[in-house]
Amino acid sequence: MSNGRRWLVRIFAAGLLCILAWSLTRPSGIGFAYFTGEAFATAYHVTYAGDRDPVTVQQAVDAELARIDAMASTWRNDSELMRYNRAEDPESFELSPELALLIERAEAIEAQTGGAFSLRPDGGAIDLSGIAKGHAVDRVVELLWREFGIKDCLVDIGGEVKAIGDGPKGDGWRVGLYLPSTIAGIEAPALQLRDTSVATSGAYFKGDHIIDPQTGKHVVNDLVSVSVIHASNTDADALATALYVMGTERGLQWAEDNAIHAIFLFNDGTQQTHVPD
Amino acid sequence: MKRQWVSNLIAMLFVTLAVTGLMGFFLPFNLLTVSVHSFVGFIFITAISFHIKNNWRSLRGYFKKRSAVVLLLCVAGFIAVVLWQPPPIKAILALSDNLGPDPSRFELDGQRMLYRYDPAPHYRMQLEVMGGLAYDADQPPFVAIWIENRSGYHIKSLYHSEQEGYATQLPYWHHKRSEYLKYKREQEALTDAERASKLDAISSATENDSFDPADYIVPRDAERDAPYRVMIEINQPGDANTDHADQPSLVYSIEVDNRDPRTFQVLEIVGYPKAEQDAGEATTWSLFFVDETITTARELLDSALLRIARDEPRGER
Repeated sequence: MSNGRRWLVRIFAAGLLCILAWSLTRPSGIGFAYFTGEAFATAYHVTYAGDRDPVTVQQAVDAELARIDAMASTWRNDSELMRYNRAEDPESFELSPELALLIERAEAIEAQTGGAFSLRPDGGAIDLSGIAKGHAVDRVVELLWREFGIKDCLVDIGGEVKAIGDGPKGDGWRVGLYLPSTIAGIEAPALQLRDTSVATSGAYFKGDHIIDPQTGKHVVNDLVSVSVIHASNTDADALATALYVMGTERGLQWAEDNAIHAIFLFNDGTQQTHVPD
Repeated sequence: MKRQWVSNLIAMLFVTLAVTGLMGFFLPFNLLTVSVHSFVGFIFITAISFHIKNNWRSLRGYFKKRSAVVLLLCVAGFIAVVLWQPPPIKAILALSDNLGPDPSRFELDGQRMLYRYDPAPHYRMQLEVMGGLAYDADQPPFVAIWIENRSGYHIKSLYHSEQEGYATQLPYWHHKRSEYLKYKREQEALTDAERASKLDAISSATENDSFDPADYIVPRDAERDAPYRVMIEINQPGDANTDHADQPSLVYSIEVDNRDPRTFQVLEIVGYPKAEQDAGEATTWSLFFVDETITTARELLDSALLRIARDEPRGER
């Protein structure tokens, strides 16, 4: 073999070794695929069991998220919701069935929570930001099942998480609740979820203004966050916000009265949980 | 390595480097272009090493000639000129749509500071700050320039003096930026925690705000864009007067509303910062009215003129 060819073979072998080493650093989880993307100005992650090509699955997920964004976003002028908000005669505006249902659900939760969750936080136009991400999580899980037959998956959009099936270890999916570094040193609670979802509301990230719809002011209380565990991430998303606005005493009472599984994390690192019977 | 192989390899690598180099100059910053250019560059270095090895005898002879010295001086001189950036070089560089991922440039010229920041090719900002009567070009004051949203949250620091002590001389800006960096680390910690703890996911409150300054500054939706503020804090250490052992820094501000676009706006003084401690003993900095006890500090800055050139966007970002 000539000298040049020997060098090429060595370079090729070195390249293969590098690729092998890199591939060994990838997360294990035999039979589970994983991809990430961006939607609703946040990151999303999807993990699922099976051998479906991740590129194909991600394309379908991105299309679904874009469809929901076009329907319910308040950050784009041309969304169905914004056009509805601007309509001179809302009664004659033909809402799509999905958006109509979502608005109806938001109104129901508003009534249930005594206005702690509101679809009109500033009293004006409808804003579904407090429920849309949860809705998107539910729709993506449905899409994975409907289009690809995936029944073991975890979908996380900006911290709203739905876990279906047994997970990589066969005992469900392990989902932690975030604790900001201001109370670092406390072990963050972790949940083992199977066929349910969790949504969290809190004010520890910059710009995460949670307004009390009844006072119109930023919520100030002793809570770091409230997490709601519910089969519907649509409901969990809205209820987490509502319970955060209510605060500990009222929120815990409401969770008890309405049989809602909720975890209240406090500024001092402690927590209180209500688990329905 | 065989000459034929080396020559062919160098030719192919050269073409790749030439194409990606031109793309890197004329097109907006793209990480893929830089990646290809860099990695091909490493292979090119290897190939050139073989070329030198194959032709060492001839090259050694060339290097001994006077022309080699002349060429070396020309190359060194050319690099020095490019680094110096006289107007002709700047004119050529202005043809580039990409001067690297940081779209900002700062110039200091006597009493005048000129800061340019282009968050997008069609949205170019220029802040011209003129020193006042109390401004000493030999001992320039501490200056910080930053952008915040309407709620007073720091978006991006455009410039700050780097002399020792800038944190205490520019406390208002420093506090804002520290808070911003803390929240940014929270975001990063979220992903690290997920990886480190072998959790499948972490449920958290969603970060509502992007960390990309362009998302706040560059207009995207005429009806939804929120105004932002351009801020300056300026301070001359040791400027005592009858009321202050050291006069505090002063903060200037102007609100930019892309829904009511103006090309020229002048920053106005908004106050001097004072630290306060809340019930939880966290320190916050608030701005207070600049009263008659502030004397020469007012004369550090003569004017600060913001100019924003807005063109039609060329396409999706």
